[in-house]
Formats: sequence, C-alpha cells, structure tokens
Amino acid sequence: MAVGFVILTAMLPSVSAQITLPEWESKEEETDGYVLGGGLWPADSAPDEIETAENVVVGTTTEGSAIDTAPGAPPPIVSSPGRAEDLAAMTRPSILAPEVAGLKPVTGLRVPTPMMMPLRIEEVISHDLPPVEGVLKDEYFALAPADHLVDPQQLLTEQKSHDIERFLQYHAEEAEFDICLLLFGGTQEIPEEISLEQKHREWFGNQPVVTVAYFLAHPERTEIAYGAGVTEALPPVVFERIFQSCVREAQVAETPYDQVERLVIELSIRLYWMAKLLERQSAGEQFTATDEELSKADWDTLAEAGPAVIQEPVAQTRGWIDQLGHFPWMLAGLGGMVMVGAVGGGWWWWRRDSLAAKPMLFPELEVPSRLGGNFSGGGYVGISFDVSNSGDH
Amino acid sequence: MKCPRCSRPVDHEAETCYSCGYSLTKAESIFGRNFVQMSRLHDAAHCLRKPEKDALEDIFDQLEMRFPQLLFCAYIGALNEQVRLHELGFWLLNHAEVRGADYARPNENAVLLILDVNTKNAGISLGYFSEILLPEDEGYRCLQAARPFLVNADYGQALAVLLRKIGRSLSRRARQLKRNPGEMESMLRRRTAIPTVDETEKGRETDNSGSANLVTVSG
Repeated sequence: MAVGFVILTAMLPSVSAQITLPEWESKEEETDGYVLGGGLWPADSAPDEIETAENVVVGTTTEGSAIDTAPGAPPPIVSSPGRAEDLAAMTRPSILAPEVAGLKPVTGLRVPTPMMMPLRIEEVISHDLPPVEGVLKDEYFALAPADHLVDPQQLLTEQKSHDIERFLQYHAEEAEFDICLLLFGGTQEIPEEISLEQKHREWFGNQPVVTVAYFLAHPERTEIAYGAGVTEALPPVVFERIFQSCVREAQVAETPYDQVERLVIELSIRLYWMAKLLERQSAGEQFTATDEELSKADWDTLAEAGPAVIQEPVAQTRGWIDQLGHFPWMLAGLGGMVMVGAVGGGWWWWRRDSLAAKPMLFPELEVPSRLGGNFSGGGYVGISFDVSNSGDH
Repeated sequence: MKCPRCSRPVDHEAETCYSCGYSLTKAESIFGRNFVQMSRLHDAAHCLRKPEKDALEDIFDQLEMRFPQLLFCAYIGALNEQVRLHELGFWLLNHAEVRGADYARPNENAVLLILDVNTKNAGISLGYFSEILLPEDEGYRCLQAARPFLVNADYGQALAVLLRKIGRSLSRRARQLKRNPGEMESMLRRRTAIPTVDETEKGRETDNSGSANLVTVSG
C-alpha cells in the first residue's frame, strides 16, 4: 500500500508536464472590439468576423429568435414578441456592417430590436413600404386566402394580429358572411391589373364571403367586395351605408391598429343585418332600389322592422349594445356597480335614522309653562291595548 | 295640549284648566307633594326579565348618545283604575328625578313612557321641550307600532319598538329643523291657543248673525 502511494506520487509531475495550455492573447488593446468572451476567450477558439456575421443574419437561437452579435453592435437584447418595437425594427434600415449587409437577407426573419432607439408608430406608418408586386403580390393574390387575415408584411403587431384573427374566426362561426381581410400599408396600392371583385369571384365564387382590402391608417381607402349574388340582390345604397359606417367607426380610433379592429367589428355587425335583409328579401319582401336612395316608404319599412342596417342612429345604438354583448365582464361589472350602489344607498337610508348614527342637537327654545308645572304641562299621547275594551286617548 | 284630567284643550300659558280647573296642585293632592326618584327603566310592576332590561338599557344608551339633550325614561306599573296615566305622567315629570341623569337633560326635555299593565294603557308623557319635537300624531304612530307586542304582553319588546320608533321620529324632526332652523319657533307660535272669552262671545255673535263660523279649537 505504501509502495503504491510512493509510485503514484512520483508519477504526478511527469503527467502534468505533458498538458499544453492554450496561448492567451497578450495584447488586448490591439483588438478591434469585444470578441466573444470579452477578451478572455482563447484566440484560436474565437470565430472570425465573417463567420460571426453569418451567424448574425441566419443564426437563430433554439427558441427561434435571432441574436445580433455583429462587431461593434450593442449587446443583443431579445425583445418579447408582439410589441410595437418589433414592427419598428422590421422596417428600419439595417445596422449591420457593410460587409454583412451585402449578404442575402432571409425573408420573414424577425430581427431583434435595439431597445435604445425604438421607432415610433408614426415612423412605421410613414415608412416607405415596397410596392405590391412580384413576390409580395403573389403572397396577396396568387392563392385563395387560407386565413381570415392576410398580412404577409406583418404590418400589425403580433398581439393585434392575433386579436383580429380570433375575432374574424369568431365572426365566421357565428355569422353567415365571413370576412377576408387583406391588409396593405398606407402608401401601397393594389396593382392595376388586379381587381378585387374579380379576385373575390375567383377565390370564393358564390360563397357568403366579403373580401376587404384595408390600407393601414387610411380607412377611407377601404375596398369591399361582396360578390355578384349579393350586390345584385340589394340596392347599392345599402353597401354605401355599410362602407360609410365602417369608415366612420374606424376613424374614431386613435391608432391605425385600433382602426383596423374597429372597422372589422363594425363590418361584422353590418354584415349581420345585411344577412337579415337578404333573408327578408328572399322571403318575398320587395325593396325599391334606385341608384341614389330608397324611397321613404322603404326606409320606414326597414325602420319598423327593427334596427336595420340602413337606419344610422338605431344601428349605432344596436352596434354599441352588440359590442357590449361581446364583453360580458363589462355587463357584469355594470350590474355589480348598480347592485353595490343600491345596497349602499339602502344602507345610507337606514343608517341616517339609526340610533347608532352621530349625535343630533336641537335648537334651544324657551317654552312658557302651563298648569303650574315647571317641567311639563301635561303633554301626553296614549293608547289602550286592552283588546276587550279598545280605545285611544 | 289637553288637560290631563278632562282632556279639554288648554292654553299654553294657562295656570289652570279652563274647564275643570286642573293644575299641578290638584295632581299633588293625589300623588303627593314630595319629590321622588326613579330609575331610567323603572319596572314597578316587575314584568321585565333580565335580558329584556339589558336590551332596553342598551337602547336607552343609544338614544342618549344620539340625542344628547333629551332624557329618556320608562315607568311600568300596575295601577288601579282610578289613576289616569295622563295625570301620573304630568306629576312624574314635575316631581320625579331620574337617577343618573345629568344636568344637560332636565325633565322638560324628557320623554317618559308610561305603561300600566293592569288597566292596559300605555302613553308617552312629554316635557315642554320634547312635546315640540314629538307631535301628537308622531307619538301616536309610535305607540301603534308597539301595540301588537303590548296586546301579547310582550312588554320588553313593545318598549324596545316604541323607543326605536321614537328615535327615528326624532331623527327626522332633527333633520327638518336642521334644514329650517326657524321652524321650531313658528311651531311654537302655531300651537293651539284657547280663545278668550271675548273672542268666544264674538264668535257666538257672528254665528247668531249667520255671517261667520265659530272659532274652532283643536287639541
């Protein structure tokens, strides 16, 4: 045992002498900037610049988010998805090094946002977007839309896009007419050779679908295609009213993203009543259609039938109520507030005459005496509670 | 106000009743000239149980805190038929001292509940000040609220209901006076005045002539 220990001790120096340590960079000040590891990284182990730049463009983490590690760039900050800054980052000019910028970009890659200089929404909206042509045009119009929201440029934030998509899905399940929303930038145009009506016929034929081309921040440029069957069945003034209502509703919102949402909600409500109108017409009810206006009798008929789509004040009221119906928590909150108010009012009403309330003082008054009494003049009120001989005094 | 004996209207400054000549002197001849002491809840008939007494004492405390100027007390007795509660209340308020009552609550600010379990009568005797605060109709309503319990001989509950009703009625009156402070004096001026002999004679004369109505008098 002791002999073995002596042999092992004698071999240790010879083993340690065989290990070769890497050479460390002796002149840290000569480097152009930080390399990975902050200067303590072995020179042989650090990747070169090109390799690093490639990793910047195409490299992603395991979670799918890209990491900006270009030389001289600020430290990578991975922003949470769905923020407006992400959208800003997509449209701002590249900040990569010149040699890196020449590389072929990867379409659809989400570039992380330098949080130090976030772009404002106004900058995003006013930023020049590419014209709708080539690949972009194909992404819009080549195939029939698979989803209710077509936004290949990702103009909406993820959260807003998700909200609108979910609402359109809900609308499609509940209403007769589905909505297919094509979202364009505010400065973009639909190519001249493309007709929304024609595309609508190609994609949906006679299906109850409404195709909407919406231009961000410009709701007045909205185009709505209903399909030939619907446009022939109803007078044009109905569609004009729908358009006006939707645009007016959208313009109430402050941000372009909220405008999209409000327009879609309003269009959903209007399409519901339009479907009702079609049902009445298919049941045999006739409406006089002119190019300009319906006759007064027809307006009155529609008004009597309920909150028809063409009577503006009533329709707005119904729209508000219907919107409330989409938020049951709001109704519950209102009901709760009313209940709390009623209970509080009742408690206050009971409490103000309660004996436990705060002391009350009467004004002092000098009262003349009578019947010789110093303190009482015989003020009295009495009853008899003898059941056999009832009488009051 | 009415005379404790004949229940005829009495002028608010009359020394004796115009009809029967009743005054405190007559009451003293019946009940005595001496001054007596009574507790806030004086159960001379011994018809209240301990829990009922405790509950009533709590209500008395609440009333005294709510109305710092007023004195609340109750007398429960088994009296004979010759004793009128009206007269007894008149005499008690002028001859009795409530034990423990502070000087801020003189007898003229008193609200005295009187209950005779023998003749089955109940009433509220009021001092000069409190009779302005609690009009006759309000007192009658309070008594009517307690009547079912009185009929069932549940005197503790009856007094509790009566005291609470009086408290609420006084609260309403206090709110009215707070809104209109001058109402109290106007009420005092509006109190019934017995017409003088001359006025009565004048009324008769006008009635005989058939040109005017008699001067009406109400309690």
